[in-house]
Amino acid sequence: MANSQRYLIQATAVIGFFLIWKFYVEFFEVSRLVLPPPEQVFVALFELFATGEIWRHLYITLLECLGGFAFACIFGVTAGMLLGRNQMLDTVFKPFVIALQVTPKVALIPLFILWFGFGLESKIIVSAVLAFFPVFANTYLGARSVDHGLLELFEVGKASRSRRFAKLILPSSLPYILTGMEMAIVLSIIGAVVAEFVAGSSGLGYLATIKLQELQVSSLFAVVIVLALIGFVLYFLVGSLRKVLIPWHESSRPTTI
Amino acid sequence: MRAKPSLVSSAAQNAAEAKPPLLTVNKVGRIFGSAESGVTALDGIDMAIGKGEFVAIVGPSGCGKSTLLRLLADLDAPTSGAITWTSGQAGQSSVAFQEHRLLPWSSVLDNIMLPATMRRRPNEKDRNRALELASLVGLEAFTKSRPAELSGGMRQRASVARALFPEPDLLLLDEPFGALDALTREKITGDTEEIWLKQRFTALLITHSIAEAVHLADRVFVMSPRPGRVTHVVGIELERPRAPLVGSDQYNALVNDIRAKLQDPDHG
Repeated sequence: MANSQRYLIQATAVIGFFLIWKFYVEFFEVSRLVLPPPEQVFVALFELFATGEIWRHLYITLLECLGGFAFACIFGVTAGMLLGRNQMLDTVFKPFVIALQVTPKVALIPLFILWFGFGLESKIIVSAVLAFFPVFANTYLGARSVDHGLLELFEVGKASRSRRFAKLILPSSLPYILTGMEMAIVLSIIGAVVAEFVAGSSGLGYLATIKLQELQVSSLFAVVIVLALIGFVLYFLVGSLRKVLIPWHESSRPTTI
Repeated sequence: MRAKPSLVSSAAQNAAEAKPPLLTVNKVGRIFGSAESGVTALDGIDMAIGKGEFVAIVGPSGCGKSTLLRLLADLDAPTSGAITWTSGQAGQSSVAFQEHRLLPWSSVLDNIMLPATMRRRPNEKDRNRALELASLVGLEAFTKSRPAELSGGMRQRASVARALFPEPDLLLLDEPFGALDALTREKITGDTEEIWLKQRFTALLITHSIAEAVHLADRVFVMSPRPGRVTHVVGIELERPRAPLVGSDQYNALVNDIRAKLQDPDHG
């Protein structure tokens, strides 16, 4: 299928979605408080930017989720490498890691607020805790999936541990790490927004709760759209790291089969 | 049965005595698993490899060829006997494996100088040596390509160039051309001989192909399986380079002789 043809189909599908939405709201006389028609949402979205109300919240949420994402990457890659390549550390820390994975981390948010206050710190930490696991789990998998033949090659060559890590284990794990990061960036946004729901005084999550309390449902929808757009842009940016960092990997090639 | 002196041709003995031995494999055995119920992969292997000599090991699957190679590469230790280097300390060995084992993220040039990169930051001298080796194996036009962009034969050439990079005391070739098509394989075997004639490194080739062993080796060790033993040593005294001799009567006679010895370990 030609690119232009594909874009045409996708554009038609999106327009069709809004038409069905509009038709549904009008035809079934849905209350504006339940589901506003699409054009009202667009007006609300425009107003959010026109009044400048949204910028401060957008900045705060971005700061929180990018901060959380950065910590998740640093700790996730470090822990994944250590546990993935060291049998002793793996044995000792695996139960803790699994416990962390199965705990509903959202339930810990009040605790984090108790420990780190109502400011940015607690939001960044919630975001980091949520985003940590996919980075960790994928790095761990990558560190364990290093080709045995290549490890043997480095053994014959009497490579030092640090050179082996830098020249073999890290590059070989990169495709896995990037997969973890793609999952993590989405979770980091969720973490920041949920933390703002619970104890925010700014940020898009906080703004959404305010709009709900004011029963401005169109504005609520507009905030959700902004959040979705942030997610889209960040996910795209992290995804395009593939072409920069692992151009050699199969996943960086266009699929032809 | 153990290789008796009577089984070893006089030519082979002369070849072994003419050059100073680089290393001696003395009654080496390797048992996997426990001593009572384990699998004996190698039993009483004796061989002396001369400096600058090219030896080949042929044998059916499961005869312990690869186990022996792993012992020589210091990837594994024998359960009995010993491998002794004449110099007193273990020499550096380098392996070209059956699979190319190139780093997919590195260019051909970076792959060739990997033995340096493994230990330290490579310098200008390393780059030049890698370039030299790339042209030696006929890859001068592909130094910037990644392995995925090369043909199977080119990858093996890069792999051999990498194995030559550290100027190893012993080059171990673990069927590096085994997965190539017959035509490419013949060409690459001839090229390998030419490189050897220029550089005269000590090499040990493990192969299933008798023709390849006859083409490259000064001596061919014939092994039999379960337990892995050397049954015959055949000296190859054809003049080099041997590419023009491939398929000639004297070449075929040697191939047939080795084949007979492979099929019947007690063959005289």
